[in-house]
Amino acid sequence: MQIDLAVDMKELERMTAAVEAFCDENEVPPDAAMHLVLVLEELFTNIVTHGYKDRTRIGEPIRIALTAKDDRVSVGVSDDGIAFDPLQAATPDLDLDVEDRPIGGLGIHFMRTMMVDLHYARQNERNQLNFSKVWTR
Amino acid sequence: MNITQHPGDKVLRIEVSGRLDSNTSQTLEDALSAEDVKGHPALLLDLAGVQYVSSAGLRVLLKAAKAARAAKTKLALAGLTPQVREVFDVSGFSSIFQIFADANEAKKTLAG
Repeated sequence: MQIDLAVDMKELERMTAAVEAFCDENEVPPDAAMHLVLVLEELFTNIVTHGYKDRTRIGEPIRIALTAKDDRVSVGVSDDGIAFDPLQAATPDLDLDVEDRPIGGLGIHFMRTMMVDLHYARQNERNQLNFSKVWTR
Repeated sequence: MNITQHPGDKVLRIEVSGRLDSNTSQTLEDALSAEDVKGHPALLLDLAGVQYVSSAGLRVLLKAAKAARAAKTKLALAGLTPQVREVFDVSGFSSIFQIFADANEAKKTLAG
């Protein structure tokens, strides 16, 4: 499955529906499907919010590709926004009290916690992020 | 997402249902920022109808927790579904909120 999305938060609904339909068709267990929807929402939101600050937003430059095989879904997320390697982002401190708790960085934390085989590259002026969701039946 | 307010004797229960994501969290933020809600001495957020929460939803809940702390009012959560509970656990949010299994249990504690 492949879906191209505009740099617009309105696209979130279309992306979520496509990911859920893909998970249904491929009999991905509900927990794993929720993790995929969650991590993709976080990445998509980051790209829309931060990736195109000083750039023109033409067409549907955000591409999400999903492939299912055995007990694994392989995911590719790419965009032509500002170069950003989420794997280099700082890990949030999850033990701070209410007052000091930051909210930024949680989405990337979800990806690190729920996904495996994370890989980032900047290729042809695009961010290319790959990872997988694996599960045991 | 739907938000319904249930004013009680001492506790204002706010029932939230649906998805709490980047596109819907603003609606909850607005509801919780209303003066009569923000200033209420005991707020209970009933999340039994929420199947999904992302960091955008967590941000709104954290903001409410900070506001309650500053105003010295009570705030508790109840009815977390297993999916929502998992996101709370992964985020470290389970330890910063008072969380009850269901709304009735929470009301007893909050009213006391």
